[in-house]
Amino acid sequence: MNGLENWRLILNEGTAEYNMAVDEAILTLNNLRPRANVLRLYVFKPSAITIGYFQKVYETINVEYAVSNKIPIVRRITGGGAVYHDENGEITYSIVADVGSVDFDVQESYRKICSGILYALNFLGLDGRFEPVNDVTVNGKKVSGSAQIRKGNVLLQHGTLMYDTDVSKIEKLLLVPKDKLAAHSAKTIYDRVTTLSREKGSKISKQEVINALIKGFEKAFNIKPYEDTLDDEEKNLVKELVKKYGQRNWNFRW
Amino acid sequence: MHIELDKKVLGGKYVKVEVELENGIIDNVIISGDFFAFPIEEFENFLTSLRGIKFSQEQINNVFKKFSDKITFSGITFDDLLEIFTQLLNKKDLA
Repeated sequence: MNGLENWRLILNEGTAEYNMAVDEAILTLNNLRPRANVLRLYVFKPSAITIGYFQKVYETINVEYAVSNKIPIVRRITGGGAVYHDENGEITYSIVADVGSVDFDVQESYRKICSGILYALNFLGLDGRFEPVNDVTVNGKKVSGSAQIRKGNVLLQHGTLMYDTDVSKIEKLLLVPKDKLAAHSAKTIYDRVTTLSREKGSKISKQEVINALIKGFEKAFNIKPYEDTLDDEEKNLVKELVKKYGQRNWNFRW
Repeated sequence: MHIELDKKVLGGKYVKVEVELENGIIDNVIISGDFFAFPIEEFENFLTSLRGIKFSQEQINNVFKKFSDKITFSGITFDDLLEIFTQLLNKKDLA
């Protein structure tokens, strides 16, 4: 399929509950019947934590610190690890696409989508590397992590790009198992995680990152997405799903 | 009786299996970690199928066999999970 005319581009800022609801709504509706593939770029406002579907909150997050600093914790429908989404330092992307236009093989589909991030980094003057299963690194340190889920023949992959994230917050909020740091030969979070601004040695702005990501995914998929907003069907489903993502029995299930 | 075991898969993800046993029957099971699995509905069915069965290799194998084609894991494999359950079975026998 030539996707040149077909992809939608949706840009927004919103709460964690809203952003997770939008990703799930688009995945659900695109699985119901063929619809245009979607590239979303969004910001968590206010800053929030998302945790993987299978994670135990209290083993993953310093909940006390998060609560006392009014940082919401929301469980995703995708697996993977916990993420701190800094409203002033991180852009999240999501792609909802038919599997055929990405790759049927899960690992290859991560690679293909993450190639869009690598191109984006090139446009920003940085060299990135895809590190299976789901990370992108610059100078050996993580700047992006992604998570994918599939429903029928449609995949949702969302992920981060930290351009100026407050890494000290990550250290306070996320309980990183020592063996994970050891597995990456890292002593502290600063040896393992970085930001684009830090690696570039100068501030990179939010808008620069958004522009680079759009160009990066355009190159990776040979597409030219058109800017769009949610339709009524999506908005209605989002309204329902936002409730789920606001519920304690979802977010604190384990 | 509560038994648990975790594993960081080399080049992969972290997974922890917790089993609550009541008279040799699995009363509850939690499989947590930063791995990936889909569809999540089938993963939930997998957990449901493990609950209420006798905690034996044969019964565990049967459930695994039933779901091996239905769930796609990334970062861990069905074999990693089965290995953890087998180790937990040994742990139970030693207790």
